[in-house]
Amino acid sequence: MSITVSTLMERAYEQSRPITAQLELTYKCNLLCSFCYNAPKQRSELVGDQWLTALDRLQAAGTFTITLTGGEPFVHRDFWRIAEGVRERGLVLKVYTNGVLLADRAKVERYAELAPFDTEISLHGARAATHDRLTGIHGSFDRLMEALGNLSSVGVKVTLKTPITRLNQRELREVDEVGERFGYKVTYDTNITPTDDGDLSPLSLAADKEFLIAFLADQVRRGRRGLSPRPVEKMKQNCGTGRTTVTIDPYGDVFPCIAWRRKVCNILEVEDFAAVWQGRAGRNETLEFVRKVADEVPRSTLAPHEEGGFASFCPAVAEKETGDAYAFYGAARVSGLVKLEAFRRVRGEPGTVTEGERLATDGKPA
Amino acid sequence: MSEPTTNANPAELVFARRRDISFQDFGGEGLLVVPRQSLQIVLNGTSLRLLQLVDGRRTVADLVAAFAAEYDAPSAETLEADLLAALAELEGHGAIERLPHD
Ligand SMILES: C[S@@+](CC[C@H](N)C(=O)[O-])C[C@H]1O[C@@H](n2cnc3c(N)ncnc32)[C@H](O)[C@@H]1O
Ligand code: SF4
Repeated sequence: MSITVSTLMERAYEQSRPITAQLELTYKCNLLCSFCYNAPKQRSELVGDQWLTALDRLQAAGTFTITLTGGEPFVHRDFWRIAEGVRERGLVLKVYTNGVLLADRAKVERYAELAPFDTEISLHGARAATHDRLTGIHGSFDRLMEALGNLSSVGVKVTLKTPITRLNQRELREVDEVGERFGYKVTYDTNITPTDDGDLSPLSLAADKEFLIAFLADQVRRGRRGLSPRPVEKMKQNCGTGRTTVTIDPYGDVFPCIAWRRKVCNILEVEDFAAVWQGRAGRNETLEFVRKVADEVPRSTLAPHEEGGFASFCPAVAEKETGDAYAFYGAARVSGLVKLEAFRRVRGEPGTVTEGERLATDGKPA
Repeated sequence: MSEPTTNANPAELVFARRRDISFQDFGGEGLLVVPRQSLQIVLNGTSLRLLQLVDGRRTVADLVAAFAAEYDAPSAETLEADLLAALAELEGHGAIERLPHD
């Protein structure tokens, strides 16, 4: 049997190795996106040395890829020390940014020296008015365009990320063209999530379902994405939460993934983080719970539903929306129905889901 | 600039890991990431061990000796040929580079 990257990922899963860590360096940000899921607290944020300690502890537990995010990671005053610390340790560096601070040629040249594997930049529309409306800051689009010019001229790989909202859904073709202008691929996120402290208001920006169906079908027809159901009956797990993924917030609190804010420990309080993650330091209720849920959800929550294989299901969102991590919450059902319908349209099968009852949940909690 | 290799004795060649790569052992096989080429590939056990041993000082002869000590190796010539092939592959992926002769 040939060994593929997925085989290695399965091994990491079986060994509960936290191979990808997302570090939220700071919740400070130079933009004001109204839908942002961050929920800052009145606590002091980790400084450079503390993040370097965190890197050592993560690496000892088997972390391979570090994603620096936030807030806006470039706003952290020790960003460069931390990013250099990632590379000095031989770890893979990824960064999620709004790009604004990269409208600076010298900074981008320094950034390229770090050899980031990927830089994911949020693009909220093809027009300045749309992007700036979503980011809340006039001029953010123009700065981003300048940043993309800088990045492409020094050959840094960028993936543009566009969360689809009611405000930008009509200009997505043009968003693709913005990407093409710089030689960058655009990925679309059809899921808008609640905030980390459970506020559901970002969901009001979610795009229309009819629009999403047509959009997905169009993307498939143009070969921009694939669309097929996940084999939920056979799946070993829903996701890598608490096993292959780990998130640390600006205060050092460790979570099983970016979405699930059930605390595992604080990275500065545990010298042997590997022992915590692998259960050698005693039982950890959070890890035990999220792992169990991730293992059971495909069969218990998704398999009984026709649209289950298509649903983007996040047990953390389920818990935030309904109080039950296993609940097939409104937005997950809608995501499944939308993709199922798009799948049928692409195959030329008669649609069964229209604007009818089954979509009446509208992405909001039932 | 690296030297042309045609005249060099392969046993004396020295390789170094390129600074921008990352790799990790995933239980026998390894994962190699080369950002410059947006490359992410699986390394077999031999290539993974080579990447761990290549340090800008060891010669190919040293690598052959290290492998012979660690594994039930075939003859030294076969081992050297195998390792040179694996080194060439790693070089092709941009994971290592040949150092110039002193
Ligand atoms: C929190 S931001 C941090 C990195 C950086 N400041 C940025 O905006 O890219 C990470 C990603 O989450 C997206 N995001 C923020 N709030 C969201 C929400 N409620 N639902 C879905 N995506 C969201 C952002 O658009 C961005 O792509
Ligand atoms: S730029 Fe990123 S972190 Fe800042 S407000 Fe927007 S989504 Fe949140």
